[in-house]
Amino acid sequence: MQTHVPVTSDQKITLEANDLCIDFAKERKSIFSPKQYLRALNGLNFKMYESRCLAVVGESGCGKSTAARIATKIYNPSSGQVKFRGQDITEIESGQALRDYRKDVQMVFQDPFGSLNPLHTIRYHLSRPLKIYHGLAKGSELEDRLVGLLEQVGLTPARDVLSKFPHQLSGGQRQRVFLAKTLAIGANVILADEPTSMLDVSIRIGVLNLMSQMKQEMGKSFMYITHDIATARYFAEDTVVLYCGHMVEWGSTEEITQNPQHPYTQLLLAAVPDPKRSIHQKLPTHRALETPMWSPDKTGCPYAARCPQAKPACSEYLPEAKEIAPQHYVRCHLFM
Amino acid sequence: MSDLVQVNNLCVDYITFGGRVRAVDDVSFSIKKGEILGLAGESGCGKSTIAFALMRLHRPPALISEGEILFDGKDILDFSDEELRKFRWADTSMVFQSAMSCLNPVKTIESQFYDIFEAHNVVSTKEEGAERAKELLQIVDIPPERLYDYPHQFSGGMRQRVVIAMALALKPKLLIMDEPTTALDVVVQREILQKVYELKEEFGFSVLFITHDLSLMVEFCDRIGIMYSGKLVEVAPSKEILGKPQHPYSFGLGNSFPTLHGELQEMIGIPGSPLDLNHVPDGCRFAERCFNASEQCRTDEPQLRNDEARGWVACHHPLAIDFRELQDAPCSELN
Ligand SMILES: Nc1ncnc2c1ncn2[C@@H]1O[C@H](COP(=O)(O)OP(=O)(O)OP(=O)(O)O)[C@@H](O)[C@H]1O
Ligand SMILES: Nc1ncnc2c1ncn2[C@@H]1O[C@H](COP(=O)(O)OP(=O)(O)OP(=O)(O)O)[C@@H](O)[C@H]1O
Ligand code: SF4
Ligand SMILES: [Mg+2]
Ligand SMILES: [Mg+2]
Repeated sequence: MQTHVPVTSDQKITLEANDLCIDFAKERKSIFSPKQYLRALNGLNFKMYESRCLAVVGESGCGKSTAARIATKIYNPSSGQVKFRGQDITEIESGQALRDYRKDVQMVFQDPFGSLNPLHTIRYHLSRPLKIYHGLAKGSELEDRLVGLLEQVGLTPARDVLSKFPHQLSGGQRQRVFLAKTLAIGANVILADEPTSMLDVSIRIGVLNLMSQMKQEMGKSFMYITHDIATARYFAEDTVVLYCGHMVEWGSTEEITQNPQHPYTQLLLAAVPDPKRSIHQKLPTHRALETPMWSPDKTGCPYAARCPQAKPACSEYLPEAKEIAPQHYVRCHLFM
Repeated sequence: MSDLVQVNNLCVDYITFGGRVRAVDDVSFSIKKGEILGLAGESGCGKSTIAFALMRLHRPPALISEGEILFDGKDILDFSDEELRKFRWADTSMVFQSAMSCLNPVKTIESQFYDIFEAHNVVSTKEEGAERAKELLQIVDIPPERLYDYPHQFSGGMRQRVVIAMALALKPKLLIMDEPTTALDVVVQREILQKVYELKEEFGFSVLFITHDLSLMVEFCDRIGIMYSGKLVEVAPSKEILGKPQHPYSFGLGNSFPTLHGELQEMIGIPGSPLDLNHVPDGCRFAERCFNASEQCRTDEPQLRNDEARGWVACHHPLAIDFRELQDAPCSELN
């Protein structure tokens, strides 16, 4: 297993986010109450590379899916930008450029039931993108591609699978079909939002291994959104820990998981189930408060209210990012 | 430790249009007093069906067609309605994945506690009920003044604590927890399970804990039963399930959870997909996915056997490797 590898200078950046913020208008209690906003992401930065995976981890509601939705142009950021191969994606508005973008950057969802049309066979799902994007309409070339795709994702005998409908496959098989579809489309960047959380436990690893293979052998660039940090360690070279829409700690996955420094990351990692520990594993002290909702007018570190080590400055302003070790960054007043 | 619960040859069927599906097939196990027993296995293998049967909460189309469930020596399958009413909450109580499904959204927590106390004649006045309920909230670390709140005023984690407090209201001997923390974040999950563990130590009840997260289960349980498509295939002390699995399916499950610490190993999971209960093969149900399957495995069904030295396992070719020794040895690899 090799996920502990530093970025090399020849690895190409695919997607890159610079200081992304996004605000959502909150429902108003009455038309007279002032408009209020929820800040779902505040200052998100990341770089994704060919042949590498970036894991985005954090608790429910911290903004993981929102980050992927901005990158796929489902949401527009309130400020900041996402660049694809150097180009700001808000400039990609229509025509061939937009079609190319949609072809290159694909999302994989949690629910393999929802992402395939139940009325169509697997053959239909895979041959359509081959036709649309690659002009392969029929003939033996198409057949070979279809069989090849299914074999690549480990669905054999491929000819039997082609004539099946989604409901005739198991959850893991459907997720494999969906990955085959992203291959058929020819996507190079794959944003996988909890792709295995609805699958049976014994087949999750198989899907992760398949994605690893796509990453290593075909050079695909992955974002892996998950709250299962042990699988992030298994699959992703880089990790961003989000808390309440803020990046609190990021860098190489191995650094983050083996040597967490931010008080929130330390809490999170101490809580992750690990058979080598016991249930008595003490959690670092923290105030048992709920995660706050962030808003554009709030200041300081989002973890300040729960953090046992908080200083006065913590609720005043957000500290700058600090590189505390090679490939290891935190944003915390304790390191200033 | 003596046994609190003994399940013998339990079979539970679902009667469906397609015919009879045996979701739990000839399962036997015991839970000792003060023990935490885990039930692990993939979705649909019958864990919840067993949990419901232990409470006799199963409803048509589920039917217990064979077996006995001895609780303190008495078969709960023979209980009258009145005996059952007393048995639930007072002897055994259950916490589900979704706290909301156990809580009534339009009643305050106070009145929901009162309903339980009243049904079992343990308090005579509302005030007395409120006093006891406040004590219970306190043991799960919820401020007692929140007693008068409605369920929606609590966060998910607090709601699950309230449900646990209710489940413990009548000091049951067995607490069944069916995926109690799956919907919660890991920090809250650990806090809740630590609390349950403390309370277990204090009050001495037993726990049946169901989850599909084997890593969590190994941390929390004393012993673990592994189920595969309606069958119990192995029961062993929790550290041995990963370190010294005997059933190839237990080995495969252990090989499906990457660890957070230690050397990263390439994992293989389990090939194939879980069995369709409508088409149960002869022989071992796991044979199609098993790396160790022989001709015998495809024809003869392996029986659950207890071997003093090795524990319970239902397999013709149980594994005999101790991975703990392997891992500790220098330069050794799993694969
Ligand atoms: N379209 C929207 N309108 C309003 N609020 C939204 C919208 N989308 C997301 N949010 C809010 O933004 C925050 C982040 O949501 P997001 O779905 O990104 O979380 P997540 O990290 O993916 O959580 P989970 O692990 O539960 O999927 C949440 O508070 C959510 O309620
Ligand atoms: N009401 C029902 N009618 C018919 N079949 C049912 C019914 N409820 C459950 N089953 C079947 O019984 C089997 C066991 O279900 P059960 O809910 O006990 O599984 P489980 O191990 O708890 O799974 P999960 O991890 O998904 O909760 C499954 O194959 C399921 O399809
Ligand atoms: S009985 Fe045979 S097929 Fe079944 S688990 Fe054991 S070795 Fe595998
Ligand atoms: Mg999400
Ligand atoms: Mg269940």
